[in-house]
Amino acid sequence: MSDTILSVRDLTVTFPSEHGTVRAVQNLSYEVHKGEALAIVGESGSGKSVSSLAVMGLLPATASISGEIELMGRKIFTLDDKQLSELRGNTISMVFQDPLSALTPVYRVGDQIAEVVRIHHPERSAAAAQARAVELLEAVGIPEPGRRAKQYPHEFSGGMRQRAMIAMAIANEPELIIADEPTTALDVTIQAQVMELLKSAQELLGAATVLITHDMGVVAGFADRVLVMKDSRMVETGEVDEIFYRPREKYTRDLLSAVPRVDLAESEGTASVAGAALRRVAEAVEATEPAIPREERPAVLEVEDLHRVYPITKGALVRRKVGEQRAVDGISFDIREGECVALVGESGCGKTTTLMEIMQLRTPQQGVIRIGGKETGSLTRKERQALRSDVTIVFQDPMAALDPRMPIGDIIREPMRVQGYSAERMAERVEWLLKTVGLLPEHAARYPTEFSGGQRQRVGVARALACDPKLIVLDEPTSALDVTVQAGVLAMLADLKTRLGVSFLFVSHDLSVVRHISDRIAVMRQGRIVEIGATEDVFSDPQHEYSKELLAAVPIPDPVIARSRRRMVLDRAAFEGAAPEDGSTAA
Amino acid sequence: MTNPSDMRGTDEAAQLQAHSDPAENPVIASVLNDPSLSEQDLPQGDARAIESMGRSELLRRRFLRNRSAQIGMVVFALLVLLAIFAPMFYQYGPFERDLRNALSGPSAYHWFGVNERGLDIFARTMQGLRISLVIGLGTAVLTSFLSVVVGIVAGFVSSKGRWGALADGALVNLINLFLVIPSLLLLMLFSPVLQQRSWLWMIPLLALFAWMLTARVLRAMTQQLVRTEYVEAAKFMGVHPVVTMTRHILPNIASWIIIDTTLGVSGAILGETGLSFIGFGIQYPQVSLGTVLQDYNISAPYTWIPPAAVLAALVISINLMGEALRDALDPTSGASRL
Repeated sequence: MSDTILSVRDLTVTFPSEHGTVRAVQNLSYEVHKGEALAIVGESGSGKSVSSLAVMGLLPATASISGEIELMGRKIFTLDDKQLSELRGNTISMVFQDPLSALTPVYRVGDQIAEVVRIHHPERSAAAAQARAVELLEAVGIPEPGRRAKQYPHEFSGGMRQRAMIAMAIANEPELIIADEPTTALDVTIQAQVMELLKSAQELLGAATVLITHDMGVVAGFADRVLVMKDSRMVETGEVDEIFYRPREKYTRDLLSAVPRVDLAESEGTASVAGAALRRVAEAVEATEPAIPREERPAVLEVEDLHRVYPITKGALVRRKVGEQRAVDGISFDIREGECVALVGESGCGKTTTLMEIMQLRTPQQGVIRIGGKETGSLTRKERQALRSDVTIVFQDPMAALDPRMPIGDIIREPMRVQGYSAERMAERVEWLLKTVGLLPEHAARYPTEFSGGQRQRVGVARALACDPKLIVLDEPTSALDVTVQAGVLAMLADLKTRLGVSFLFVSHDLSVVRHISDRIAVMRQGRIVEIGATEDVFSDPQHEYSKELLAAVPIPDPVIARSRRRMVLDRAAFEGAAPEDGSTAA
Repeated sequence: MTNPSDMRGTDEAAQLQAHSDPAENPVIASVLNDPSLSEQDLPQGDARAIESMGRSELLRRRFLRNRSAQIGMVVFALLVLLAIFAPMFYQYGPFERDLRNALSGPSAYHWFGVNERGLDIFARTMQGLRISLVIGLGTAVLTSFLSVVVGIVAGFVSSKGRWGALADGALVNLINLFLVIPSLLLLMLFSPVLQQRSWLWMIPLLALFAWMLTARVLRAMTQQLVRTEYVEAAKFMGVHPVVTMTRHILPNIASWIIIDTTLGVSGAILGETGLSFIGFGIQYPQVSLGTVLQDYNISAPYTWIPPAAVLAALVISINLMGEALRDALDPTSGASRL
């Protein structure tokens, strides 16, 4: 542990802007030793990405940097771009957040990996570099590496692209790997695989690794040391066990307790903020009114045997149908009054298609959707218009869901205007709605850009609540938010559910979020519901194989547990080139 | 437990859980006491000033910081003032003949000189500047209006089922039809006929053959916006499509329309002066910069340099402003850097 690979001393990065100087990083110092994994954790805007870009020498020219970064004894700031290029990809390599945009779409994946090899080893022939690329792809666990190396990035899935990125990162056996949110864009089961791959790659190479993330769950299983950042400054640093079990700073504790825990049932304690808040709300309700059994409450939404099939067509002049994509393949569920049903599944499982089918209020291709007992197919234009106020939606991305050119007061007024509310009533309700979701009535005149992500999501909820809906459809309402903000929004939703008696259809890919808010869970896979049941039953005793897999893949912010779940996945033999030939001949 | 290897419950973890006691942890406490308060305070002090600086203020600052915008604005303002006031005070009119001084250079009486036919060049240039400015601005506004209507409607209906796609196809084919029409020939055909009624017919005539490319771009931008969540949300609220187009789509592409209109002014001016120069544009008894240039005498530079310089200054100043506006509106451009 004595070999220092990277040492950052007193790093400060500032950007000039319209509003004076923005301090992105202030007085940051850390060291990474050989074979060590350091995790830099912080919420968005805390300066974690900027600090790592500084290490790569990739900051824009407008940034002014002070302090010192030393990589294996060489001072980064004294090097020119040419010398830096020799380091990049050879001594340091980087794995980016979005594997879709990190690979060039017009080159074959194999060529891109071979390029990295040849830039730093020009003596190798093109054929040798290609063979090496195939070896590397095999090493990171891509099936049929010979064929896959000849494919383009769009033919790879998200997880495979990230594997290819890792293959590229380890191609020249770097001394330092920087991974910037490597799994944020991936599904939870893929995320687990990619993190395991990254960990074993690091152990195999003995490289120092800097992992940048906002997810404490990912950190627990990966890092040796953790550095917590907030508002451009370092809050705390220490060994991983120390940070998780004996955090010194208040912010670290808040951060840890804001992470929803999938492994803790409500009866076992209150490890997460959302859980704690929800439990308390639930207790308050139980104390005031005796719960009516589910079966006796009226159904708000019933979906029976819903199908949605997209034809796959070929041919430019005459379209022929060559196949079909069964996006939703016969699902049935119902939501009772005041209930929250969670629809859980990975991307592409048909969650969003189901939502859109419900929100359209049209006759589905096949099957029946009933809202408040009325079939959507039988509605007249007028009835459908009126029903629009009963079923509302909150979107995933709070940045995209609000019109940037409208003050939030007008945004909230819009559904009421459609339903023909009077001006005074609208003004009254806007005030009430803003208060209900925890914003100040004075904010009505401001534009969405003036609010943070969490506040915008509250505006989205206020808009959904505007006309006293019976059912709110929540499409991943918290996945774009930081954990501490997420906890606040979840608690607000739970509070609304109990106070206003609204029903929720909560769509999410994150089981740990869903655990605390939903009454029932439906697990979806490839257009079908594989399991549906009460939340506690699904968590404590999952019946379907896929539900078990999903549960096992959720990262748990506890180092001991996380370490015990780890497996070795990098193919050492393939990486060292022992078994390259079969890969290349297969092509 | 959900996971066999999940052996939660070390003492430390239990300790950590104790920290989620509301009294200890302010995040929880705030969430519990008032589910709304955990992050409601807007940034204070310095940060507040940042938040409250509006878009238009930001735009104004970026625009004014740009050197070429400053030059363009000053030149354009000068030219507009000249066009308005010079013909009021100058002693000669554009068709007053002073044959005694025909083909003489600039003097105290004839500032830019006199051409072969005895007409004062300064008077004609200023009158021409007036006409060219009116036609340029009018054509640009009308062109933008046409392209906004066609572009937004086509882009909006293209995602609305089979009939929408059909209507979109019809509009796209209309655009293509106008693109393949030899517009110059039609302009030369219609312009002299319509000129007999009023020189203002030049505006719709030029606009009719200039809206197509902008409409195509706006159609593509609208198609992108229709897929955004806030337009989707409006649809699910039951907002009328026309209201959605005017309230959600139009304001969000407005900045691009403004840039395009600005740059369209100089294009329209060049189109009009070109037509006038070859004799199919502005006719007697009106005069445009093109007709002034038509009276050139190559051996007497003062007959053609002043109108050409005014025309060039006009077009360049408008383009400078348009480009500065584009830089100011585009956050990724150089203008955002200080």
